[in-house]
Amino acid sequence: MTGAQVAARTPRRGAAGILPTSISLETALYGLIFLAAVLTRFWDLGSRALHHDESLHTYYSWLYAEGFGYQHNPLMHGPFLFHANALLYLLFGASDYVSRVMPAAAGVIVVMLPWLLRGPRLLGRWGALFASALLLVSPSILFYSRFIRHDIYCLLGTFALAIAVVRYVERREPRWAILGGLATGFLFTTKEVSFIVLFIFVTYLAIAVALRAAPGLLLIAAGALVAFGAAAMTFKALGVGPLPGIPWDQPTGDQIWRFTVALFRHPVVVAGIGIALLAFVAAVWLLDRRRAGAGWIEGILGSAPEGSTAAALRTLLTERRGLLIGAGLGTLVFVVLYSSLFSNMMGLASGTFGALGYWLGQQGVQRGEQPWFYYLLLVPQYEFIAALFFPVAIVCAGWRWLRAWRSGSPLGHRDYVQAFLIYWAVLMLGVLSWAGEKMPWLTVHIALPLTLLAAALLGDAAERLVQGWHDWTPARRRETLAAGAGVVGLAVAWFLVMAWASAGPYVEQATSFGTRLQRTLRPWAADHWWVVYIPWLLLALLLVAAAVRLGVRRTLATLALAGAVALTMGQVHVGWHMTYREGDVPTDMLIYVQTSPYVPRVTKELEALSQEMTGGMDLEVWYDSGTQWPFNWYLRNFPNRRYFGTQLTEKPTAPVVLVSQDNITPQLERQLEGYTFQQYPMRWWFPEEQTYRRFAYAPELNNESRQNYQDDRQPPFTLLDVAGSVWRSVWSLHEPQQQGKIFRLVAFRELPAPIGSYWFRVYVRDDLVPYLNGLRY
Amino acid sequence: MLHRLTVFDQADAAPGALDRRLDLSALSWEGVGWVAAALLAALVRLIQLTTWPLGAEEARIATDGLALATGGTVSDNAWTHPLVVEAEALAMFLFGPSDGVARLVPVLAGFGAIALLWPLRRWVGRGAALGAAVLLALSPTMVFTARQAGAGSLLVAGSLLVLVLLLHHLSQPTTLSAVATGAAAGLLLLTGPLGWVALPLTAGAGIAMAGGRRARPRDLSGLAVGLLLVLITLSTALFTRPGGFSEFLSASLGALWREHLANAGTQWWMTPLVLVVDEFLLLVLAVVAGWQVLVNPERLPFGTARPARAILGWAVVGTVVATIVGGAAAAGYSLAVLPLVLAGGVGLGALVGGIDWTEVWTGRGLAFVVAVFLTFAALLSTFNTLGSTPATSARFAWLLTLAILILLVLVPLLLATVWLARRLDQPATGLVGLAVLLVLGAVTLHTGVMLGATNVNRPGEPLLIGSTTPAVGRWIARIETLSADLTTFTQNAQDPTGGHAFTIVLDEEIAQPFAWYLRDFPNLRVVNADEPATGTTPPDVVIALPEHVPALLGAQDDYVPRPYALTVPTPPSFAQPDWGALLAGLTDPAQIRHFTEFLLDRQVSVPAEPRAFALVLRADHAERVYGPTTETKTP
Repeated sequence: MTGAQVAARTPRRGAAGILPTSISLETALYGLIFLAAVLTRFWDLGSRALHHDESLHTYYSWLYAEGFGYQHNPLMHGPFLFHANALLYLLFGASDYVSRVMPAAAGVIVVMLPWLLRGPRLLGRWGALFASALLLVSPSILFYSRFIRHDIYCLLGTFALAIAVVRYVERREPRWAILGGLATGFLFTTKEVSFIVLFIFVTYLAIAVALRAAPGLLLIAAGALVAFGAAAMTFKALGVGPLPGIPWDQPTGDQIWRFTVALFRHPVVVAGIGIALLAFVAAVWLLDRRRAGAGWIEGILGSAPEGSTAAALRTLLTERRGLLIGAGLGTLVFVVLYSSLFSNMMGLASGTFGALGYWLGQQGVQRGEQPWFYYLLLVPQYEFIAALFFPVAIVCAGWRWLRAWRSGSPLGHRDYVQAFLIYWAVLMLGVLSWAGEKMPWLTVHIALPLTLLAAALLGDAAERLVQGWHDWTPARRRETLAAGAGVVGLAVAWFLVMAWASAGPYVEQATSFGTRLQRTLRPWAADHWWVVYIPWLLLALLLVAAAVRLGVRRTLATLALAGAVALTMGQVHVGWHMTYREGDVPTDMLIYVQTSPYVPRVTKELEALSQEMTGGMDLEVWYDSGTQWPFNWYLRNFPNRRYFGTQLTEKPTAPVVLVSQDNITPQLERQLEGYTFQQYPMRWWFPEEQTYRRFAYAPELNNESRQNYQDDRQPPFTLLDVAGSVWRSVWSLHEPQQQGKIFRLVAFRELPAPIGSYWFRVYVRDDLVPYLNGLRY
Repeated sequence: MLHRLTVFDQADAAPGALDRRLDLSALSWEGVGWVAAALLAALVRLIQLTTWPLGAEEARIATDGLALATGGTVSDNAWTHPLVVEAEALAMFLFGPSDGVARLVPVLAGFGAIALLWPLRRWVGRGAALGAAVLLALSPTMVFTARQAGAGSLLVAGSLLVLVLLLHHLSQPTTLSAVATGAAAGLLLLTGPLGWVALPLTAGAGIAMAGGRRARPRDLSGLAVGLLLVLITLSTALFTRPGGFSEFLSASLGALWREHLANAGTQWWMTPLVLVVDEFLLLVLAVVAGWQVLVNPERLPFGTARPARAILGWAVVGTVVATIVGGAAAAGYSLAVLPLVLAGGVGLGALVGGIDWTEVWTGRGLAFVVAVFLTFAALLSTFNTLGSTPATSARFAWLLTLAILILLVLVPLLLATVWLARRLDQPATGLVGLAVLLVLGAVTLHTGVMLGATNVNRPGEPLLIGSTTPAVGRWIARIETLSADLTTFTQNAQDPTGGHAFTIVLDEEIAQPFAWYLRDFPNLRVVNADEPATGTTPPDVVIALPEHVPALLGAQDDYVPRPYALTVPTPPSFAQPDWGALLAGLTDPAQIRHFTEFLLDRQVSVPAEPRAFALVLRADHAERVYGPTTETKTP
């Protein structure tokens, strides 16, 4: 780089030498993104009702802050959340807003982290900028940045670890090893997805090292996997039973011991250990041959080219300073938090074996009973750009690798990074889809690598256009801008046409769930459905014309950037609605079994009633087991609250009694004579059975009644049956009515069926009803 | 560490677009002034943006915008202002339907208008452009249009866009600039019927400012291309409403005739009233500008005399046109206020530019300004005392007070002021003007801020006439709560979350803004007063003009009606001014005193009864909301 180039980028400092007198456009853009991130993550954090899981997290954090201590329990994942929130409650008091401040802060950091990937051998400057912008507008990451669960912390740790890995491979500086160690330690204090993350990262690095150092290792590993698979299938055919179930539900020491013995006695496990030992011996033999008498590290990794993963591993193992400091810091974070600031040393065991064992055991429970295609349908509804660019990225990467292989030239470091992102995305999607417990908040772990990949592609496109811009004539520039505007305009035009055509009247129609009110197409549109394809036809013509005028590559780059602009508008639309307008109303798949807004409303009414009657918060409120979560949190400031379990043992004296639907019995209703009730939904959920569950059969679900919502066929279902069910769903999209229905579901969250709910009753003593009505209305 | 990262990480890339530098050291006082103007504009426009519920016209526009964004059916009224509706549709697509989002479009257009004053520096001078930006930020009419979902703010921004592009084109004509100017003209026409009036006014002003330069003949085709392209593209909503262009032409021109030209001259006094009451600062500064232009044109920045003359001419013509055809609405007032803002900017720039600021920051100049303030306060007190009528027994005390005020306060202050003035190195008139401006500016700021206040009674604020009262918002919330409590579990595809199963009947004459607020209720019916409200399902709620209730309810007698305020009324003194009393009051100290108080508190001697609506609840609902009641029959 010349002196002039350095000067062009070095920030000039003012006379005081403190603040720069000029900033680059890039810095200014990052500044704007930062401001937008802060605003979007922190605005109006407290208005959405706390989810059931959120209420657990906030309540136990609050108890910790109040001095009642904290002990790690794998059910509620890692300890970082509880320590962070307890600290915030100590500083700022406990409220719904404060409860979500730390996730919001983590969300802001996640948005800004791509700044560390600006290097030309990583995402590039444009790619990193796009990454920050896309993370800013990612609906799932935005939503869960404002949700007091562990996922955003896990995402932060994952991202930091990924950055540490690619930066260390790029430059081998100790600070990245330190960041990696710290990030790993922090990751373990968040949630058990960290095990999946480490599996993905370690296997990728292992494959990358093996490819350089000893490709034969990959053959050995593949052979071992095949042998293990064959052994497992053979044992199954011979009638050997399944692996022993993991005792995950607060197991005793004896149960753990018996499980461990049974596990290590199981033929599949014995075979697996044997195959692993054989593979290990073979690997050691192979590596010993390769090192040819030199030291192990130098002998195996010494010939690795600069910039390769193997070279990075060599430096890490030989220099060690960064590794030791990083590992030390990570261990410190782990120990401090899992031991609850050294007050519970058993937390170290529950945080490792306990956590892994619990969550492996949970996979068989299949909590939520979500089908294998859950994330395949969930991610594209929110992450338009990430989902659309994913197959494009695979094709582009495959094309580049093919060309490199055929020409014998090495792949660039950017290709390495993109390959890492593809591997990460595919495996994360695969593992989470395989896992028994599928939840919408896990979407963020898939969204992150997909978003970074999309950003990398968009960055490449932007670099291509920016490079060409200076050489183009003004007319060519105008044509490029016009082509881009045309893409966006046609996308908008299609949306308007589709919205209009699908906005027909509601009519009663027979469905598989009975006669229901359903939206139809506009009659004229139903007879002239071809009009909705006109914008697509025009788009194709525009692209052909642009390709002729501008060239294919520039046209594709323009299409990518303009398409991203149009899709960003769509993501803002989807994300804003879900995050700020109806975050506690499950018209979105991402909003799962959510506490209804009636709960905080009821709480406010009870607070007002209490202040009128008692002058403070002394109103006596009784509540049962079904309303315990989230009312443990919402009633925390009522000192006279009383939890009565599942039934009343006596006629209540409290002015207000909360009872869930599970505990409404004739006896209870007799005990509550003299009270008037108002019934509300406490938790409500997206109508899964009438929507996405009908996409395909799900034979992997233990509950047979949930395997098929598409037709009347009964289980069992084969792989062909599943493929057929998928095909039927895809083929049904050729029907205009179905297109309209899917469009309105994705675009406007128009549900074809009511949402389900779990309700509760607020019983108020009769003499107080006029008071309460006066407060309500 | 930051520096090291920057150098090492960008080792291989040549400087590119992202390396362009933004020079922070170039920030001058002028730059600080622009930032301050923008912050002031944001403050006055955004605070309490949604305290007033949407007005009927606002709600119509919001409903149309939402319908366009979701594929619904837009009303015929939408074609009079397609740009407004499409901007609303975009906002609601991105951020969802709400009052705040509906008003986001005019707020952003208001900021855009301030930004568009920046390029005018080249023609009117830096001081005048900055002055205009400050005045635009402060002007209550501009603040009001920027807080209302409607055409006003887009009309202002569109006019400035046309002006800037036209001036640029006339100074450096190219085909591209011609097309851009034509496109801007198209946007202005699409803001509403008044766009047809604003365009020739703005274009004429632009041509006059440019020294009468004409467009090249070949540029006319570029203008036409830009104009037609924008008109056709946007009136057809990107070609998705094929008949949109013809509908726009007929609807917009029809509305121009119906609402403005056919009733030309009706309530002509409202525009001058708004200018005197709300824009007094602009009038004063426009007069200053006129003085500078006509008497001291050489003191204006080089090359700005002609544009300043053109702006003054625009202000005069704009005021006349707004008076005749503007109607009594903020969009119409803006035809006069916008050029007055520019003229006021010229005056403010000249005034401020003529002050030696070094002397102000030293003791003498500052002391003089303070003395002027104190003298003004003493004058005000003296006038106040003179204007009050003491009781017979208190006459001596009154005389004594007056004597003390004049002899011990006013005269010494006047003498001190004159003494300080003589010691100034610059003419005192500039500093006196500055003091007066600060006072007027404070009053104007107060007026603009008070536009957002619903808990301060200001019946004489002309800009708020016709606004929906807060009672509407409160009752909407109660109806929603009541419906949620009673129909939470009544769910279907139209209402999957439940809680909106109430049957609600709206009187067609006052359907908006209630139809906007109750849009989530699938059983909402808008009916004509002649049509009984029963239908197949007796309504839970009826909202109607009080006199229509009996007709709408027919034989139903199990309802409880109560009247509530619907809109802010026009005070009788505005609806039918007593010109004789007004003219006589010009020389009556008591009336002058009353007027100065009116400038601050907007109290009128005879307030009007608000236009009312009747909220009719079914008896069981009424008991829940009002408590046990004996009102079980319709009136």
